[in-house]
Amino acid sequence: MNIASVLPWAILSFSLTYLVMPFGIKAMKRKGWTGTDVHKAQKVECAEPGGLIILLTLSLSFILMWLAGSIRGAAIGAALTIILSGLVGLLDDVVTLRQRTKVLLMMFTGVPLALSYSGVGKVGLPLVGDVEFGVLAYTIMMLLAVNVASNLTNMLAGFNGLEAGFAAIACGMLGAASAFHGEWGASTISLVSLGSLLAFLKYNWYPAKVFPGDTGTLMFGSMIASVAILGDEVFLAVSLLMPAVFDFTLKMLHGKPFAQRSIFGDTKADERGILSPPGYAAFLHAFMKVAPTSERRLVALVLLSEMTLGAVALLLTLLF
Amino acid sequence: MKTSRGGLSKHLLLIIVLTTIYLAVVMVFLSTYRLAEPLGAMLAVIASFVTSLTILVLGARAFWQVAVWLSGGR
Repeated sequence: MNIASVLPWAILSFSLTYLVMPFGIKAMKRKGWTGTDVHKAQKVECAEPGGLIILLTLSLSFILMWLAGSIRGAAIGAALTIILSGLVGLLDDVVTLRQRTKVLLMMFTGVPLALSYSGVGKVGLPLVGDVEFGVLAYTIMMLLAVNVASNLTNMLAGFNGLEAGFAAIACGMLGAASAFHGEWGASTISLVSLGSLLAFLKYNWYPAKVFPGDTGTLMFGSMIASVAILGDEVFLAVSLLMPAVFDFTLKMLHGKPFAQRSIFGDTKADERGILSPPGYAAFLHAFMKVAPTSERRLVALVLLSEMTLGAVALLLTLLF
Repeated sequence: MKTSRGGLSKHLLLIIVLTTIYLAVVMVFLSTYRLAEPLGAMLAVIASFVTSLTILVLGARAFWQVAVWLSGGR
């Protein structure tokens, strides 16, 4: 395989999502599937979950790729894991699952990837080289990785373009790194996912017309974890997830980590669109705290942070 | 938006702090791994995970304190 055989599939997933999304937005609004954009001076209703459209178009792309023989083996497992994560997210959007139920269900979404994975169970680290874990330990790690990454991306969310932008950068960098290392299965899955994410961003960027919902956010984390395992790019993926890891750590350090929103309320926006954070520590709140920050700038800063950490990780991998 | 543009240097400083803490966490992880390597891969990973987690927690606190300091204690 080479990049010329991957690009048509990425363009297909982009085109499908780009073309279907306006109809999906209309249909969701007609059915009353909406969420309030709370970070605007005037509260606007946006279609939700837009992740459902990505789930449909990405599933169609993966099926066509499978029929054409462009993905096989563990790449099919990764595609199934991404789709299953989207389905758990959809279930959460429809019936609102309890946190522990969601975590338990997400544990099963990694099963297709774990069953189809035929690698030697190693993680490549700069300065250290390959660390081998053995099949059992690595299988457990795969299931945990999908779960953790999905929940991390689900937590660092709530602003126009943030979740999809975050996943798009990760998929872009992981896709490029996998292609560079000749891991074409991983590169195909990540670039096809990137195609869908970029098309979705057109509608989700500020001012958003559609939100991803849990269908989207859980699927985005699953994309990152699946591609990282498939392409042996775990170090890069962990580095790209660092802003979300920081956010999670800051929230856990604060008292009552799962009740903060109910105690402190949401981020508020004034009439100029400048955000003021609630009174608990979080990654996004740090940026709002230090200087007046609009929603667009906040998202750009988080994406810049992610790109910086990804670039440093790539540099470390190449140098050592 | 003039007020928003004025804070760019503070925001960039925050990203530099984040990158520095990230590098500290990675370096602690890798150096602990190398030190614990003779014990075996799994034990080395557990040891390096625990030590780098400590640095991550301290780093996250430091990151937040820098944000509070840059905000003038708001």
